[in-house]
Amino acid sequence: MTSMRPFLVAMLLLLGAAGARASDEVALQDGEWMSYRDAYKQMIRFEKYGKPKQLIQSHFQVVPKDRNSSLDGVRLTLAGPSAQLNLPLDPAGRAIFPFLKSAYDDNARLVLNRKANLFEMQQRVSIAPRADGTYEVADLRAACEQVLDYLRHVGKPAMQEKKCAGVRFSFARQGVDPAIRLRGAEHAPQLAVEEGSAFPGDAGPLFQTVSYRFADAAAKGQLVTQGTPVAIAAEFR
Amino acid sequence: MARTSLHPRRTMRRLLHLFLAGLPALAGAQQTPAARMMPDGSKDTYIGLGISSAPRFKGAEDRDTDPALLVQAQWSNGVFLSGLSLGMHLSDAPTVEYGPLLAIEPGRHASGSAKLSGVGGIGGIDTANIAGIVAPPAPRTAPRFNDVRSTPGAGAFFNYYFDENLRLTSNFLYGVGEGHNGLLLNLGVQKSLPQLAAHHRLALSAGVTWANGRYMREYFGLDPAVAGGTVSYTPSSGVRDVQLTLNWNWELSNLWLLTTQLSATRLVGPAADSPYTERRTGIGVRTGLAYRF
Repeated sequence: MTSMRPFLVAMLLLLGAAGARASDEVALQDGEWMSYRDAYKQMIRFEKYGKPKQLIQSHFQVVPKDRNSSLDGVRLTLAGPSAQLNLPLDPAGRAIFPFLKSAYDDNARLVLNRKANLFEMQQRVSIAPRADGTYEVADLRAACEQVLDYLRHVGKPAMQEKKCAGVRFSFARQGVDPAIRLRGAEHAPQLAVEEGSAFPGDAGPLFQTVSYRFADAAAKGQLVTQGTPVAIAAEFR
Repeated sequence: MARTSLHPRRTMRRLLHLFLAGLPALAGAQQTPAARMMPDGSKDTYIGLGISSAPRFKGAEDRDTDPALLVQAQWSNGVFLSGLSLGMHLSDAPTVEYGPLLAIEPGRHASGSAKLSGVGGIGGIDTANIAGIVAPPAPRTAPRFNDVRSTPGAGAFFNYYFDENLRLTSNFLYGVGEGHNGLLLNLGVQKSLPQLAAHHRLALSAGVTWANGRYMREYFGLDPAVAGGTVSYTPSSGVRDVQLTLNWNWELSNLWLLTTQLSATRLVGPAADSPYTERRTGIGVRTGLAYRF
């Protein structure tokens, strides 16, 4: 037992240091966090992805775990020992991820100004919006396939059996006209506006959403949005 | 009492054991940490201390409870150190990992104790194992085992992700054992379990290890010239053991990780039939606190 003493002492010192550190964390910021290194590993895959991705984009996203958790006032901060960087969130909770060697080497954290267990942090791949608001149906199909190919590439569960079903446009709940006009398919039914999350499966936040199903549409044509969408998501079946 | 002596030379030898910890006797298969993409010139390192409780050697009934050393490091060029396994990731694909692997196979004292009992990575998060350090053996009145040196083996690993939560793991090592001609093949699956709470990660692994005849004879064979008596046992190649391992990693912060591993190993075939085998199924548990930097 005597020979165990140095190791027990070392363990106690380590535990003490960890406890002190944990106390500091709570004192500094009682918020949900994620290791920057772990986030970097997720996010860098898209940058290194070699297949077609010109129609899609990658963000770091903060997602509420339930419908009652709002993103209003939520701030995402990259916090390192020497510097802090605010990462602005769009209405869907997405931020542009900064690839910083200094933050990686400092073992920085991504911190929310909200308590733990209310939000998740993850990579989100979506369809890139167009400035003119006009989307070729063929491009939307191709974009959906690009999202699906990427998710298969990184090993998202159950993606091998999925097929592209359509796209979902999300608009702010107020002050934006969510109507989408079909150009080149005038006889097609009007696309319905519903309340829902920007991305299938997310608990929130809620938007005005318009889903466009490829199965119901002609191979050619254009979708023209009146307002600027918050996000455009691929939908699978 | 040898184990309580503070003789400087013995203390140094004990420290040497601490820092030369190999793979845990119970873990069986070398686990390789998942490829970690990082900026050029960066690294990701865990180091810590813990406690390990495991059978004294493969098939032993007696247990040892000892300090454990936790070591895992990865560099941007793909090189990783996980316990006493040193390897290099050569693939950039997120669903395939492969590369060369060097590892030390723990030996066994003539008294029956394993010489090095082990390190792994940090499995479950990206795969952590724990280092279990074996204390100098309690002396027995008469040597019963052949002395087997801890020896390095060289080989390769290949892992395939069915999805981001399920991966096939495999590796082989050649050159282990006194004659440097022992061969070990490991095959397993690892499943990341759904998160029950934030910052808690669970992973369940199952594996099987095959060994060639030279390895089997060295570790499980009985030579009357060494052991005394007239009984001899000459095992052939075959499956050495099957393993089931549960890893639990609790991220206390971005700097501190509490990692725990519970493993069950069952010797089968010629290893199970060895006269040295007192108990076919061994349970091991290791837990420790690691610092990430």
